[in-house]
Amino acid sequence: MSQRYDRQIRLWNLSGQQELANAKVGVFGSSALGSETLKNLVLPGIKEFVLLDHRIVSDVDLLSNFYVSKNNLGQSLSHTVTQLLCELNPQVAGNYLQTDLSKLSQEHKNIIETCTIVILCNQIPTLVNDIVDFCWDLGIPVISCSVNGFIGSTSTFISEHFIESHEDQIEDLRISEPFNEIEEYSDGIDLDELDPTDRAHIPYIVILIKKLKEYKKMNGGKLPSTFKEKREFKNLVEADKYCTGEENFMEAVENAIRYSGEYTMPTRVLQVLNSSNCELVVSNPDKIQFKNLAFWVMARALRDFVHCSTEGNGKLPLTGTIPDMKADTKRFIEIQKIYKNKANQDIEKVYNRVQDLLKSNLLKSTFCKLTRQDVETFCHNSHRLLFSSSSKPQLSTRKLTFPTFELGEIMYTANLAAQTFNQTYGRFPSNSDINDKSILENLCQQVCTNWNNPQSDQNDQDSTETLMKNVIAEFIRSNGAELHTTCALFGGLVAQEAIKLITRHYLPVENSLVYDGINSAFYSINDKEELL
Amino acid sequence: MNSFYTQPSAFEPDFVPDANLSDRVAETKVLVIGAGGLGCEILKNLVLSGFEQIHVIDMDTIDVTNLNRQSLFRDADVGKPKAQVAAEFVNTRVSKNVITAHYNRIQDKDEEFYRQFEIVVCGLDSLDARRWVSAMFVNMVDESDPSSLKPIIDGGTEGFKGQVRVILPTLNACHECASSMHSKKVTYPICTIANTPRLPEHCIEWASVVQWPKVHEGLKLDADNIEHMQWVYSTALKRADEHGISGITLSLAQGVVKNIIPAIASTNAIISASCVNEALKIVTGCHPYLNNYMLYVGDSSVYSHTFELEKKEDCLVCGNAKVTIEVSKTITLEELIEEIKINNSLQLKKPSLRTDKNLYMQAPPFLEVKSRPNLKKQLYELFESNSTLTVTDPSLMTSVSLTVTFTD
Repeated sequence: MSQRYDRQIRLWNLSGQQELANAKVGVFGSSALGSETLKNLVLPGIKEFVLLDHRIVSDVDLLSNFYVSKNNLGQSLSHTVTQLLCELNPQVAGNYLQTDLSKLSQEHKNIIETCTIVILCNQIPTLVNDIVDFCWDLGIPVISCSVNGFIGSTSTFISEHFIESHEDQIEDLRISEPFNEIEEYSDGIDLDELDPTDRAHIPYIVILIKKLKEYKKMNGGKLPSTFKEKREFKNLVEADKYCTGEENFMEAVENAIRYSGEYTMPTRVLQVLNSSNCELVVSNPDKIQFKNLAFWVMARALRDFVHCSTEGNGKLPLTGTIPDMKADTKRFIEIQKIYKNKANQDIEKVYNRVQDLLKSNLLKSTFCKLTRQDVETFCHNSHRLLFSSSSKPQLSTRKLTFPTFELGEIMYTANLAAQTFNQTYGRFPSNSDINDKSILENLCQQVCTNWNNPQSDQNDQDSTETLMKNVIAEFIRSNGAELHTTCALFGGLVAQEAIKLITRHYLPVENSLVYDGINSAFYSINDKEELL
Repeated sequence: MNSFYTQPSAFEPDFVPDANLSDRVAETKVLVIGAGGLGCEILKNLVLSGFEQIHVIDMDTIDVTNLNRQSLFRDADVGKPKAQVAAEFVNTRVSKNVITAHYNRIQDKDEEFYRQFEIVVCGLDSLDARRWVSAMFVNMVDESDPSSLKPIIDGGTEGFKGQVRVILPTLNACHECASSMHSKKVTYPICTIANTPRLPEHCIEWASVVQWPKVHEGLKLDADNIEHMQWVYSTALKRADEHGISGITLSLAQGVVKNIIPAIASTNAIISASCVNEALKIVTGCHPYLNNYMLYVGDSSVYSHTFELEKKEDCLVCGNAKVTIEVSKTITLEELIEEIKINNSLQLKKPSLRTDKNLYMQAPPFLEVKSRPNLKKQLYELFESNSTLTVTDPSLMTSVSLTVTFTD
């Protein structure tokens, strides 16, 4: 099992793989976009999926959908695609439902409630709105995507999300504010007493702690704070009498600026700690979605740890890992142990707080359980926590206004308008009817205020109007075609977003994204409600 | 697709609508190099875009670790040749013989084989293979015959990141022009591995690089052989225990020894589809094609960057490269070869050297044996300062002129 998934576990770890293996994905729409999206979720091993559609396999499907074949003509599309997708991975269970998708039914709702995530492929706006509305309060993420010729567009709707961001961060070494154990260790080393070989194997952590002490003594006990002061500190390290080209001293010089400043809490983590949910979890835990409860219990314990002067004292639990550095094996392992032990002590304190919280009267009845391993993982990743929440979108009444109105925004608007066109007329705009163009343009004006006043920071009105004209012409030319390459590409993109949301690893697209296969580019679109 | 061929493009004014374009696509002979994560998808996408004359070449067989992304293979296919299984699968699904498989190394085919194609789509995972393909098609260009210029669309992925390139051999940047951009394998200094190991990786390198050849003289370490890897793992673990180092796992050992690059279905889908999208635009002209590089990064939201790689005037392959190297006349030929191997602008693996006579030939065996004694000779015994040496290497199609200047 883990051999099959080896190449991806190296990215999202076993914890991410476990989330995938527990996930049930609901997909509305089983033409090429839906089947290509699901392919990229079945292969990495979700638990199960359910595919909903009303159509039967036709000649058009044979031209664009790889998960149908000639002998399926006339059969249920969702059934056929489900069968052929299941061949990809025997560990994944596939279900289908032959159902009318013109409006959201109770049967659909019953299915959605069992899903981890819902993906809508080329669905009409009213259905999209109703499903987003229904899922929002349940905390189920929705990705709505569509493809039109060479252009694709996707939007993610999610009320609350927290992740392990995997963003590069500088290591948590506490060089500027060393904890007792590492300070004592560094004090115990006298560089003057060592022979040159030993001295060349003293890890740069020790060198920097010693030099910072010296700096503070010279500067009234203050750490360097401005860039100029940090440079001065670097010069001080460089001027050390033993700094004569040995690798460890060179590493100390290289890292002098990075590690000499005061400890700062990452802003994203502060947002988690300051969230009202940290209050709610102790005062009114029923108000928190159950699947997020464990996270908020740990976040609250973390906050109390940070605020307590005898525990975190304004700092997060130590991560306990150190980067490789020039050192002999003995000293490196000693230092590594010191950091690891300190990290374990911090975890223990957070863990105790978690257990105390869970024993409280209000939380006891929720049956929320957390193991030492859960808390350890949480603490280890606490410096790269990310939490986002947003207000419920009112899709049916909204009108978009973009701060900048460029090719991506124009394509995004035209795509929304084309979906509305399809909802009204049961077909996509084409050049077979000369009125289609002006109807589509009118719909663009209804969807987005910029369409009447197409100014942009970077382009003059003329060139923006040319782009709008060209995009409209392209949508007429496309006639809603689900080009296979665009579906395959967008299926990859949508599946990747779904994987990021399911595994809670890596940063998902915040709002909407447009793929432009004409110019081979992706555009982030910010269409949040606040823009109104 | 037809509506795109019969109507003008607002983004490509030069495009002339033509109802026969779908026939043109069907008749275009395409070569797909690689039938792995990218290759499987590229084949499927080409067929569903209307291409019907597709050849695929791959020397590999299917491994269980391929199944998380290579969508044309099933559990029962493990061990079978990738190219054949992939071709058969697609042909069966669309009930038409549109793909021909070649279970070969790319080097096994000659120029005549490659000349039959109009366009090439690559889904490769090695720099060496890319370099070889690029050099082959640059060499094939005959200025008096426009059909000798075959566009190459080259895709690559690493985890959540990927890139697509359009190479028009001799007209824009070839693979070699951008060689400074290519990332290199992480290496650990040998003295750290031998004397002051600190990381589990150091112990694994010690087991696989230092200990393996000592204990298993003459037997090459095979990273796909589970018994070999078990030995590396337990040897590394023993060394780690002696030094108090933790974190050795079999999975890490495999990662270090094989230099495993994470690979996922979704990124492969994005990059392969983008490759075929470019192929379609090049063949039909229905939209502008990529000029000439797109980078995709999916791990922090989605970021992409499209830009033009510049052709290098003094490129080894498509330019007029004159490489000069300065060394002492007292070093041996063997040492010169080491210098050449680590030289950044050359990046050669097994160079053979000639002046007017053979200095050292890596192959064929009888020439290797004959020229081997030269390895121990000092340079001044072999040629004079400022001599021009012809250097050939299996990773390059052409030879490189190298001027060697003595510093003393």
